[in-house]
Amino acid sequence: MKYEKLSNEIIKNIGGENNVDSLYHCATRLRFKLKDEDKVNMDKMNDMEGVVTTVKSGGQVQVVIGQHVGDVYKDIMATTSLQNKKIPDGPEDSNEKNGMLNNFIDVISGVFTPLLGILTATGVIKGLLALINTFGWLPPESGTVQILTIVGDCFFYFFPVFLGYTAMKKFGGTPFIGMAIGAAIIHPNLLGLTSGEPLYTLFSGTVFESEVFIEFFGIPVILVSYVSSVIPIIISSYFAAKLEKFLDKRISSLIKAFGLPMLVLLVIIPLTFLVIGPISTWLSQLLGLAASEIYNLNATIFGFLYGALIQVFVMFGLHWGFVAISINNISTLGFDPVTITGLTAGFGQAGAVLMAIKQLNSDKIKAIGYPAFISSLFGITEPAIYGVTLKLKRPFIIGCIATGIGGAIMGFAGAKQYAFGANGIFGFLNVINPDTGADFSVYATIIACLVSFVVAVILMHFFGLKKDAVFEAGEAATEAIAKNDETKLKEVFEMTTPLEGEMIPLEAIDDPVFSSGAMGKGICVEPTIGEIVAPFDGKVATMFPTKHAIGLVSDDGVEVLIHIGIDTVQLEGKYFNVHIEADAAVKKGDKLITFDVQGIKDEGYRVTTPVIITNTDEYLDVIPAESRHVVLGDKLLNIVK
Amino acid sequence: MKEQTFTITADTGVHARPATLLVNKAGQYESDVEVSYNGKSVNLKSIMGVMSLGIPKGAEISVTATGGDEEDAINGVSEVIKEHLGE
Repeated sequence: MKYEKLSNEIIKNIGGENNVDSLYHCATRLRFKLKDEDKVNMDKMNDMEGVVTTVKSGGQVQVVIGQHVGDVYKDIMATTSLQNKKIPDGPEDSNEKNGMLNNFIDVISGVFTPLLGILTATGVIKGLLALINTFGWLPPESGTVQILTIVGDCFFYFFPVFLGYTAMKKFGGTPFIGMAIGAAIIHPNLLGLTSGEPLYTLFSGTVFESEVFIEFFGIPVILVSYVSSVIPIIISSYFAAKLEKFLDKRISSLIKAFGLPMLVLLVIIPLTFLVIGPISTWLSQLLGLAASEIYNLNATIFGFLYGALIQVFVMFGLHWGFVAISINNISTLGFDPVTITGLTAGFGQAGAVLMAIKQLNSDKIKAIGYPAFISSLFGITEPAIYGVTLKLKRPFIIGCIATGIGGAIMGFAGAKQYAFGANGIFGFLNVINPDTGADFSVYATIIACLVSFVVAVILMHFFGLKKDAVFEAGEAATEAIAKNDETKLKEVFEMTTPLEGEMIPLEAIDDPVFSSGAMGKGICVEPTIGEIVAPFDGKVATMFPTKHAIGLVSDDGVEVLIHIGIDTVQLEGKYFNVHIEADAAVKKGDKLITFDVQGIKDEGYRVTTPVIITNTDEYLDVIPAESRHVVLGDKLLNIVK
Repeated sequence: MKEQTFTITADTGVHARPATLLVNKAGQYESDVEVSYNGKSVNLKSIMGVMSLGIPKGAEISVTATGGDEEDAINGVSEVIKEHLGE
């Protein structure tokens, strides 16, 4: 079958066969009715070769394929049981689990994709700093080093701010709200709040012992550091986006501009502190306790587990429990044998990245992979994980296993760290006992790092990216820098709405000239405010003497007719005011026409305003945005070139 | 090339609705079909083009068709104008 691969990809990213309620197709699009539209991986769908674009519209997810949509539809029907089988209501258990993990990884990699460039850049800068500091090229307290440290850290330190933007975007909310939440959880004042004497201590004497420094309306807030954290902001953004959508339908458009973000921030930020803080505190304390127990039981097994899982813990911000133990050990014992076993992580991931580059061998993976490999050797694993291994899934797991084996060697050899600071290829320096000098454990540490790297390479060689996987994986890596990809053919012009109001499908109005699509495809808006603005930069092509309609041509050649009301030509200009002349150039947002909504209605006319792309024939398709109340600046139509 | 002149008598001139009818008709023919009014000439197959002329009541317009089916094109357009816009 010609489109088997495409069919499989579409079904996979639409949330799986079980997520599909019904599927049919029109001239250019597959139209899915889904159980849960949130399961659709929109980024993946839009980056797929063979899919022009994907939009959510009118309770459907519409996948624009082009003229050959019928063939793709046939292949989907042939490869799935959508046609014959009655789709079961309950998802199958085993699939569900797998799906959840995949969804989770897809979300993480989707959130990181737009940030990979800056992530690898700052990762390499941090690696350079490690060189400078280790070899003492510059004094650590010098201004140069301080500023370079800031350059290297600016992104990692404020991770939640950047992730707030991309996560919120991914979940369909307003990106700046996500940024604000991210900024809130790393607000500098939080540091000051946890110094000094706590108000009281919760669960004193248990593993959940938590010091409470502040309360929020009487509820104890357990503060943790969210600096550089990843998962908390993604979880918060998920709920913020949900809340935003919920409120969006219920808030008057008059106060929405400030009211909506205000409510979302007021609810989500305190909730983040109240819920995520304690959960991650307690989980990391539990993990810390478990770590001590396992270490006392058998240091080799501990080393393996810690090495294999540390990257997962870091992702969730749960490594603080270990850090706490480690700091405590160093200050009381003078050394710490716990966290040092994670030193091999950089090497396991580096080996996995190197082999992924070799196996996929595309320019795209090289662009991210090589800097990720380098920074990984210096112990900065984020570019490797979020840029390459996690989204390919298998390399991440292989990297973790390889790290675990290195960790086991270090555990066995009884490696201890006497200082913090150096990492990656200089990490062994921490293991040198300042009083007695290098011993067996130092050499074991160096060997462990090499072993982790080599094991990752070997595992990748035998279990790495198979031929089948290469395509999929190649695509995943492609995503990474799709933004800069010049070969991207698809182009969708997203036209913003020229007026505020409720969207109504064109077919729903009982005026055949518009509803039949004879003038072109488009959408109607039932205006709530009598003002028309330019939806793009362009020119006024036609201004009707009766002022009830205006034709505009964008600089790119999109022709749009905005026809205020039905049969309103008969009002001969009454209730309409024109603010622009024919042939005038307009900028997006310029006021064009104002009209008296109530006055027109009182005369017995409908004020429903068709917005039509009159040169629809020149485009592959014109698809309305998701049906909703639109305000100025909102997307109204997708015009697919 | 075939050419024919018409006078628009409809009260509202060539607004969105009749423009659409004209354009859809013109679009059925292979020939290039143009309409000119007030010294400006546009493609009769483009809605925005036709509307940009802002043809009012009483206007005199001329329609030209060039191509293999120019005869049919003029006749077809002429029918639409007579039925919806004037004489």
